[in-house]
Amino acid sequence: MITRLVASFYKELLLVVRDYAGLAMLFIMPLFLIVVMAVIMDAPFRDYQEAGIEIVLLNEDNDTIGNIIEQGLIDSEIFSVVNKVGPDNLDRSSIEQLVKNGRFILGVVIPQGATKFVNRKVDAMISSTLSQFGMPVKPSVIVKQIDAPKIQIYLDPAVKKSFANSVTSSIKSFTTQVENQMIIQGFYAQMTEGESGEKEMKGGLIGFEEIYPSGEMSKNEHLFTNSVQHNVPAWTVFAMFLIVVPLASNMIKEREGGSMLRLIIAPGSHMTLLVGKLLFYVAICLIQFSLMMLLGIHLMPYLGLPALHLGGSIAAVFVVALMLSFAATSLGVLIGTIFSSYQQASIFGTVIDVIMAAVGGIMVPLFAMPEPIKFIGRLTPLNWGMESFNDLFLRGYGIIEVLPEVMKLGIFSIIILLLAWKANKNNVIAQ
Amino acid sequence: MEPIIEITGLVKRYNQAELNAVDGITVEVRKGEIFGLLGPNGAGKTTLISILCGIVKPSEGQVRINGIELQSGLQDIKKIIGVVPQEIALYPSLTVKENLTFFGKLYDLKGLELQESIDIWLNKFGLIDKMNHRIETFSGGMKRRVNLIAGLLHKPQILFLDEPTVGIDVHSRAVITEHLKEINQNQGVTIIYTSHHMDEAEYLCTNISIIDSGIVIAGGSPKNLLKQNKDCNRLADIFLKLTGKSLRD
Ligand SMILES: Nc1ncnc2c1ncn2[C@@H]1O[C@H](COP(=O)(O)OP(=O)(O)OP(=O)(O)O)[C@@H](O)[C@H]1O
Ligand SMILES: [Mg+2]
Repeated sequence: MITRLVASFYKELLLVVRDYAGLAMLFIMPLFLIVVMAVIMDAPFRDYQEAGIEIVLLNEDNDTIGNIIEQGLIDSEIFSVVNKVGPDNLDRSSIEQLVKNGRFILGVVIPQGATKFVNRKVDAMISSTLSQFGMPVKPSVIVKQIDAPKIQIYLDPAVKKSFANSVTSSIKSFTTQVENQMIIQGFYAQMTEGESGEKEMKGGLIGFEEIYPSGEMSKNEHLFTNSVQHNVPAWTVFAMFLIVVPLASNMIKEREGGSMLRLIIAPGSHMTLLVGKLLFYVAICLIQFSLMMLLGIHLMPYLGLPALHLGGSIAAVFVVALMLSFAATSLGVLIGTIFSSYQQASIFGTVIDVIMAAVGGIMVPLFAMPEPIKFIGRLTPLNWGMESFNDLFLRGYGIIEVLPEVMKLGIFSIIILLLAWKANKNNVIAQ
Repeated sequence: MEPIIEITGLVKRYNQAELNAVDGITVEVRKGEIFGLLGPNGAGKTTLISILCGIVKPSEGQVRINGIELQSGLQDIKKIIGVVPQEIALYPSLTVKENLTFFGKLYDLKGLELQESIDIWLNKFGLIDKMNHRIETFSGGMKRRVNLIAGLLHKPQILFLDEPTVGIDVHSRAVITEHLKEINQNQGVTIIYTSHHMDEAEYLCTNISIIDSGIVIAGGSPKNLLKQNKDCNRLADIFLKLTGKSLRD
């Protein structure tokens, strides 16, 4: 049995090694793709338009400050503001969760009593200012030092740093505006003369806190996405799925060329031979993956780009790569089984890979896409792979957090193989 | 001689086909025979052989090979049969040696035993110098010879040959027929063989069945058939007399 398995593995090796076009497609093309994409997308990645990005907002304040920030975000047209997700009301932990699991890249919590706090601070300031001019002070406005409520901004570490900065500063500017207005109004209220008390607030009254809900690594080191961090894993996933083309072509040639007949006529389980074939293509995918990662780590710096960062858990990265290879190989087997001409299979295999790459967040990150596309994109194995690599590389997660994606890849592969097996029954043995 | 293949009332109708490709064939092949299956295009020869080696499921009827029921004992039967398909069944981008090594390993042959077996056959068929050449660079006749060797490596007791000499020159044909005769006489291999070359069949076969439209229309040794058809000098004449002269699909 082992003889047969190894023979099948070795036979596929010979077929692939002799197929120069296939080799170029699997190794040379992705190499260029990655380098070119990483270089040309470097600039756009630094300042691309985050148009129409969804932001999840919890306005606990429900008073002047909260409402002005909310309106400001809505009016900005950069964001579309979401106040409700699912049946339950939002709270801090659900917002944290929504950002953590990548559903939103941005969450903002305006704490309860923010307006009241600022009001009291303003009153106190005005009173102390007025008292310096010898004016009477209402005792009620003298406030004790209390902790300032903080506006919390939850950010997905997969967004780039400049974007995070611009979001935080625009929210800050809304609040500063409100605070200034409140101060002016306060002066008007206390001083009938209407003497100008416009006095820029230094630093503002209300505090801010940026929170990156994520795993271990990000606590001390936030790694923001950049051209390398996106393009290297993205096009590697794409390239791994290109395995369907040589795999399906070889299966079809084997069937059409009659060699398949000998495989069926030989005694013993055909499954052994299929396993040998699968193992070989999974191995090819893993080699492809390793080469592309090495390229990201060692070649990118020579091109003036940052080196690829693999995150904390190499074991988890390997598991994801393995499951992706399995998924890609299974898909190749299915395509090789249902198509009868290898030209058709090649075209279909390439096109389906490109389509899945387009909707699955390979070409453009998923969060920048419209909702219906996002929904379809999340159903593609390429997206599961990409999401896993984002989790591992950028968010600093480990195997536990990528387990759902890994399981999806596994279940996908098994379903696809079962379909291939079903189709094969109607195919190999003439009825 | 005891029967090694017993076919009774065999019928095959392909899905969506209007007619039966095999339409009730009952035939017995005895051990050590070279049995010729002759018939025009579309007669059902390939279908019959495909059923015998388990590639095609019969619709009706029984087949016993070496005393084993085909359906239930297929795995055991596969070990003792060798098949040389009508089409060249080799990997074009692999060399002769790589192809033969792979097909040998399908039968769990390995190491020196396999290499020796390959070398012996390549020698016999004049291909030893070419063993590291890729199949795609070969002529039709060379491919046919490799195709034949691939079915012989595991020393089968029964050999099915579907038109092993189609489209090749006189020299290649002579080599192939000589070696088939030798395998049959020296190693006692039973050979079931289809062909359109009547003179070849007349020379090679100890027994033949002429089939047309899925049924057996004549059978026996070439000698007996000629005796029964006094108006014919050669097997080819009998064949034309029995199957008519109209073209087939
Ligand atoms: N897979 C199939 N599906 C449907 N019909 C088939 C199939 N294979 C063969 N047939 C039909 O069955 C009949 C017998 O075909 P078969 O290939 O057995 O003939 P043959 O005697 O080998 O012919 P040839 O001498 O041309 O090789 C033909 O009518 C053919 O069209
Ligand atoms: Mg035929």
